[in-house]
Amino acid sequence: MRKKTIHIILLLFITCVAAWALPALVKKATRVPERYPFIYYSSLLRELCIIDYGDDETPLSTLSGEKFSEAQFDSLLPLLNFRQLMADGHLPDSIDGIEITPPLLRSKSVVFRHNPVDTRTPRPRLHVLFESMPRRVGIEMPGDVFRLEDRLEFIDCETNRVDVEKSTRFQQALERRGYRFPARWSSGNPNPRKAYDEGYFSLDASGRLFHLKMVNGKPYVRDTRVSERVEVDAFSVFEAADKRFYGFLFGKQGDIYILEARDGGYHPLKLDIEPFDARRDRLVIMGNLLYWNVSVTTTAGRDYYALRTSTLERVASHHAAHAPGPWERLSRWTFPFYLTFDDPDSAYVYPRLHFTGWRGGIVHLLLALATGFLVPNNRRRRLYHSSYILITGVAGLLALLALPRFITKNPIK
Amino acid sequence: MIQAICYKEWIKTRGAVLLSGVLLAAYAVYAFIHTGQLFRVDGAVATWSGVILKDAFLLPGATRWLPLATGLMVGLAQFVPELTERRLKLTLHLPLPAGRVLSVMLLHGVITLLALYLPVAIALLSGLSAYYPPEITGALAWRALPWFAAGIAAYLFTAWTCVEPSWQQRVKNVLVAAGALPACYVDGPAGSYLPFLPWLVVILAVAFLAPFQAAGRFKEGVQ
Repeated sequence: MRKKTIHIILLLFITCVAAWALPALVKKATRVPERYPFIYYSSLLRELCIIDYGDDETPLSTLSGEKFSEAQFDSLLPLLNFRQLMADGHLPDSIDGIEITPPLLRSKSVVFRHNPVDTRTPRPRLHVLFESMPRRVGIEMPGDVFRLEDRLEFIDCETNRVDVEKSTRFQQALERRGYRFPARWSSGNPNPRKAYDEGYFSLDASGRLFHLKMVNGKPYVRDTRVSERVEVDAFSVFEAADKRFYGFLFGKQGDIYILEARDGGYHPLKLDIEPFDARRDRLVIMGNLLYWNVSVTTTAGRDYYALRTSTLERVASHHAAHAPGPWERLSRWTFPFYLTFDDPDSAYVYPRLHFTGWRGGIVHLLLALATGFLVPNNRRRRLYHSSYILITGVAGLLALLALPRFITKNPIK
Repeated sequence: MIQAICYKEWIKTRGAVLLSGVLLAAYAVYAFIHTGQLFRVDGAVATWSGVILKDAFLLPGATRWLPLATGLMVGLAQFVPELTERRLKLTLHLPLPAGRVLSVMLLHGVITLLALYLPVAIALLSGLSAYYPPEITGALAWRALPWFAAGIAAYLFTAWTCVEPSWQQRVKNVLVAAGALPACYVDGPAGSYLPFLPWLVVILAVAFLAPFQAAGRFKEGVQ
């Protein structure tokens, strides 16, 4: 291969390395986490309130700026602070005419988080199917795991062999209910720290969502028929304390539903929020007896919603705009584009090109001019180096510095 | 002539190859002892659960760095004598095109490393398949692949640095290698490197070409 070609390949390679390594270092040195207020809906004030746990005097304030003391904070957010109110003996008997008791409040409590990385990650190919109705308290790890792709197979952990009898039993149960292989995906909650297990929700080859669990050692399979109403993108199983619903269903149109367990069927109930991108946006749900507090973090900022627990209709919303941090401000000027191999929104490793805007072009131009006028070299090389730096910026400058003859009169032969 | 070059390279590298082979074999034996202990102490269910639920890595921590160390070792053993005793000058003036001579030298090193890595990888995967299903051993292989690729890239970057005639440029080459190799060590769950495989090939291809640039400068008489 010609020497010049190798030089150009090395130049491009080192530029890519610099376009990754240098911004990664600067980002590590300057990045601060995004800071958004903690906002919760007050069932007494009937509006969204800002909570600042760092402020001992007035931890609670309304969006309009009215501030409240710590004692008022506990009383005005009784569904958030019920444990504190119980300890102080101030828990009200009822709110909005609904009698409240600590067991009821606990059973209606919902805390759910979704990160984009949960979706953009290599899917586990082996799953754990717990006994959904264990005889003793607590979920126990079974002695086998299963794979659900072209067929369903249980593999015994001790012998590392397929349990043919159990596999056939579950396979036949799926086929009897009309499940079509191969499976597209299966989603369950493999954490054994829960009161009961709802097993797995699996999308079959025809796009239908099935529910699979193990009851008293026997297969329980149901076609949820949800796919007739919603184009299912993903599902997160959530074992709610009150067994109201099976989990959170993400539609391909950006809608989020809970899959309610009613009348022995599966009924999607839509959350009244703006379209949600499960591959980019973060979701936090903190639900209580009366209202669900939903926050959705996007690149533009954070949207807060208060939804009525019974219907999931919106009762209030608020938007906090994203404020660029030091890294974002700096990168706009120094790195109009840069490479990363990892991403907080994805577990996959591959090069991603980020574009931060045209402002950094000024830095490119200044570097190109400085190289053209100040770095000793012949005219042809100066033009070549300046043009390269104009396009590639700091990364290109570092690549040229890393290779020989950046400061020399001898042209490349 | 090519056989003679290969023999010369073998004479230079046999000590490092032997040491690397011993280290890798010891590592493989330790990996089996480690796995056996996991199953005895924690039990099969807990060990499998750790992998499935927590994405636990089943091999000893040395898996990350041993390929890199062996790549460096073989590279230094093969090219430092060329650097210190100016043998490269003679080598590049053999009655064969310099490019072909260097290709033979580099391929000798790459094939030697593959001959070291592959038996260990095959022994580990086939041995562990008695303990784990193919999904787990497959994930293990995908996770370790970039680290073995880093070993080969480290060898090629070492060759690039050693063949380079100027000290100033050698320092720059080391910096470039230090900047490129971490791309093989980005943390992620098993299988996260799958989309990166074509780029691993690109890194290895560029690392293979780089010594030719240094050899060209050497032939030009750059000091």
